[in-house]
Amino acid sequence: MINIALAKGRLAEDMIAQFEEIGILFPTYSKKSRKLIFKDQTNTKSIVLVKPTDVAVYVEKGACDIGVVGKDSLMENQPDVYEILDLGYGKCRFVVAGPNDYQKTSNQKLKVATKYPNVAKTYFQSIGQPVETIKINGSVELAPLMGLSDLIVDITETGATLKENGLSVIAEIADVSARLIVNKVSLKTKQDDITDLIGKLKTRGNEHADDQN
Amino acid sequence: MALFNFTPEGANDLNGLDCENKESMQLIVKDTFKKYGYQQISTSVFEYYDLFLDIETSIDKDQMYKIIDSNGKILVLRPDATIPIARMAAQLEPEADGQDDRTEPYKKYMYVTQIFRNEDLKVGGKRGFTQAGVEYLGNANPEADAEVIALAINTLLAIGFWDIRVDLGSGDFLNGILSEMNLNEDQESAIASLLENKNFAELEKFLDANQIGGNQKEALLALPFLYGDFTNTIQEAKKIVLNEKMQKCLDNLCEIYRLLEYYGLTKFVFADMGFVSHLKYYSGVIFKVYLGNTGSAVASGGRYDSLLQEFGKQISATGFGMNIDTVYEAACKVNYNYLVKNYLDYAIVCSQQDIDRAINLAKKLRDLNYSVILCADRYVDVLARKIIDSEGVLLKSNDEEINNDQYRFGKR
Repeated sequence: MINIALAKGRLAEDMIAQFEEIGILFPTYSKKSRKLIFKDQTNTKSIVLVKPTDVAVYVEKGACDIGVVGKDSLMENQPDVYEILDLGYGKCRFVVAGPNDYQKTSNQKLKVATKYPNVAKTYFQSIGQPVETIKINGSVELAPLMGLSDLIVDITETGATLKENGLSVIAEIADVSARLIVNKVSLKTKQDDITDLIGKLKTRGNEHADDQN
Repeated sequence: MALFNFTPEGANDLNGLDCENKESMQLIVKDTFKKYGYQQISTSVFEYYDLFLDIETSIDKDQMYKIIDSNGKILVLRPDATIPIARMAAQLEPEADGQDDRTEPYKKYMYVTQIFRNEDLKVGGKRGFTQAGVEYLGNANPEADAEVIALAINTLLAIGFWDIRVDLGSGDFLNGILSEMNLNEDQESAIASLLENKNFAELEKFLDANQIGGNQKEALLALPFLYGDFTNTIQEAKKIVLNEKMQKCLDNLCEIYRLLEYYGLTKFVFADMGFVSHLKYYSGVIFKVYLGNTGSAVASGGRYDSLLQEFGKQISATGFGMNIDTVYEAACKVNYNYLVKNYLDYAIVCSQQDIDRAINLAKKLRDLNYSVILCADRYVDVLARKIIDSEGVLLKSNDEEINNDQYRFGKR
């Protein structure tokens, strides 16, 4: 049995669609179901729906063998897992954003509000800017508007939410997309099954990339 | 909230049969190590923080427990077993004066000890763990590596596991590829960490961004996939050999594998050429041991010839460390029963009137090396059950026959 951890919501739906394309069906799955575990038609794989930030924890600890998770969560939590495939969807960018009229005025430490304090710290350290991070859990755009922070670090797809709230991108940190992660022991102990699955997903990914070109 | 009736997060008590079971598992481990002639040692719980600052280790310095002593020195609680043993071995080694005046050719040390590390409690980390391990010093030949690998497998077999997998690899293979290129340290460590996570996608991007191409790119991109069946993997690895260093590395691994055949253990041995040696002092062979039902390696080891150079001595070294807590957890998961049976041989039920005879009887039995408990007769039912569980014998102190000096005790 291979256990696959998926982040509840769009990532899970996209992934289940990808699995269908390579012939792995989860007949009992439906968006409306409140169940959290679904088995495939051959009863050899099961998907487990968890919170996005928990995917890596399940995989690192070996409770699940495979997981699909955003690069943002991997960058923030640095789990000890194999990061095997870039699945090429769920694309967005890690950015630093601030008010449209933002100008760095003093040499004081900047206050940065973010859901990703580690990513923010690492980035600002790399450019030699001292910062204090404030960890918040949602609606990060509010922080500079309400004077909680000078800047924010967040992921954005199109930048529309930022724009609507009078913020603009000041710097780009990294590109983000969905990644396939694998537990370091499972890759070895369930080698045949997992390699097979990765191979199929990879071929599918390449075909799609060709279609787009 | 009052905390006086809880243990701190990440720490726990061992009680009931858990402590006995873990202890008996450790005895199996120690006995197996001793069969290979390893000598038990114990290094200090306290070490200078400087020891771990000066030597590059993979231990997160933030995870060490630090204490400031009365002289203002920073001490740490033993965060690692190997470095202190290397320090000790280097101290014991006579100064080289050109001649080899060592009295013993090899030094073989074993230990079972507590390692203190403050792991991330948010994801179920622990404050420390019990580690068992061996260090085989003074033998630079593949036979020493084969021996410690065989010992790691045989230890797990002796405990009762059969679902064992050893991944054998070497940091030299990657170093061989890197030696073909002129990269700075940052680039090398970026490549190493991408390989370590088998992050194929980012690795390719990184190589392209840094204009690395040709054979070297091909070899680096092949590395994450070079794992699995030993013979096949080595065959595949041969295809990307670029220089003598890489060839030597493969030859060495094959030689170790050949020796493991004599131990009859190759069915447990696989290859992983994607291993990265984090520690500067690891040189050459690296291996990791997995059990079927654990989420992380239960043991890891390898050759670290250059560690003792840090202490000014040229002594080659190889060994491994095994996380006893993880192994014990794995054993409990498969409902493995060491069950310390026979921890109780006799129980004597007595009333207040015949306590004198009971004590006398217990003394006789204990002189014969049996374990004995005394108990008031109103607990006889509970006791009977307990004694049956541990395959012991229930005696009654008012029984004339067993109080007779002629009565011969002997269980079973």
